[in-house]
Amino acid sequence: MARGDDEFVEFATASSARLQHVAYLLTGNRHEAEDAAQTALVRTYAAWQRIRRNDAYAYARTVLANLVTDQWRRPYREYATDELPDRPTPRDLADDVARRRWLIGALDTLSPRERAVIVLRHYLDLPEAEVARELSLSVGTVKSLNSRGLAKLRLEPDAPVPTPRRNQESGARR
Amino acid sequence: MTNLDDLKDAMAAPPDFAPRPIDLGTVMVAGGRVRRRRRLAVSAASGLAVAALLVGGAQFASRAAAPEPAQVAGQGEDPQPTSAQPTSTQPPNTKDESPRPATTSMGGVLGDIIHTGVDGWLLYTTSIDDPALPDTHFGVNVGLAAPNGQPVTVVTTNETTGSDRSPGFHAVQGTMEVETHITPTFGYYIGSAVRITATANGTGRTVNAHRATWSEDPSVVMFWFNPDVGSVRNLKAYGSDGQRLPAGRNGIGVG
Repeated sequence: MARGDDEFVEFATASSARLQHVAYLLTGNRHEAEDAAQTALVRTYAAWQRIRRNDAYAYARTVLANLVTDQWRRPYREYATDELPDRPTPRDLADDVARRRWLIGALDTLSPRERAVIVLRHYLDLPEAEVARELSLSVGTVKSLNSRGLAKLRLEPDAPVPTPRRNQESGARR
Repeated sequence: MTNLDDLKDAMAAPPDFAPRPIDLGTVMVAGGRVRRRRRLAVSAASGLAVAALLVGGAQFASRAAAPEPAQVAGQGEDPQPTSAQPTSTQPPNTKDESPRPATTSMGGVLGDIIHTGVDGWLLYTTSIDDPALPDTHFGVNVGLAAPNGQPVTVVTTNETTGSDRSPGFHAVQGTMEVETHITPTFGYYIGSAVRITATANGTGRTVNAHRATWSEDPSVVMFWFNPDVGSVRNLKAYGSDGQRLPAGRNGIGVG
């Protein structure tokens, strides 16, 4: 095995679980997450010679985010409504199972774009500019989606609540 | 603990399933196939260059046009569809007009090589024959001409979901830095697109793509943006009547 391959194996072994975790938060589906993580690693390996000296994980993460969010990069419409979405299922953070259920249920209330921004911003702790770059969005859009997503999750009571909307994104939800 | 901290803690907690061990052998075989596809394109493109030299005595590198800036419309606005034809969205020297060994595939390269007129980038298609992609028969590539005139592929992209000929955008690859070279955002569109636009992430402005029709099939419109535009989003295509055309898969991939 070539030296570069050894390095890739080491990288992939160390990062595959985290990539699957990110993909799971983005999709809410274990099997889709596994497939997305594997595809991201395939593309990372194909580009390994030119990225191995740089931040390979950032590259793999960008590929992963693009893979998942490609599903919502289609024409979509959002319609105003008078109702805010219902609060996610009741939270019981004392119990891990309940907390995980709450998490996925809460993320499922978000539009795909809001979900991607929330995961990249608050799980990966990426700055807004980096989230914008990875998702090919403007920083202003990232701020807006983040604010709206947190408002839906009722996590930021002081955040301004944008015009209530009901998401109807064609071909967006996985 | 704030609610936001709760969310972060919940996201950081391990999921309720054990991550599947990735089959790295499968990963490396599949990734290697992508690499080989790129190498095939390089060798095939090189073969075409040599053939062109023999037949026509022309040199690829000497035919590159002067860069033409992308057309820029109103800042932060969607393009205003009009019945007017787009102005100079196609570089004056977008096609290699040297005598070429017909439009036959030479080891994978199909049809004309397009000189984008932007930073020396060449754009061309290559054949794809992959059992895993039964509805994909070609991909598009950007490459650079070596000092000896032979093109060297830098990025290859192709449709991976469904037919490569369905109406709309396909295989759009975002700008990247590859060994100090900034590649253009590029891809192809199926349909009679006379204008292709996107929103520049850096400025919020609407920018027009350069276009060139593939010599092998006029329904395939290859396009690219100047690399200095930076990353883009919100791809749109317009017909000759100014109406929006189907978007298809207008996501922009990286990597």
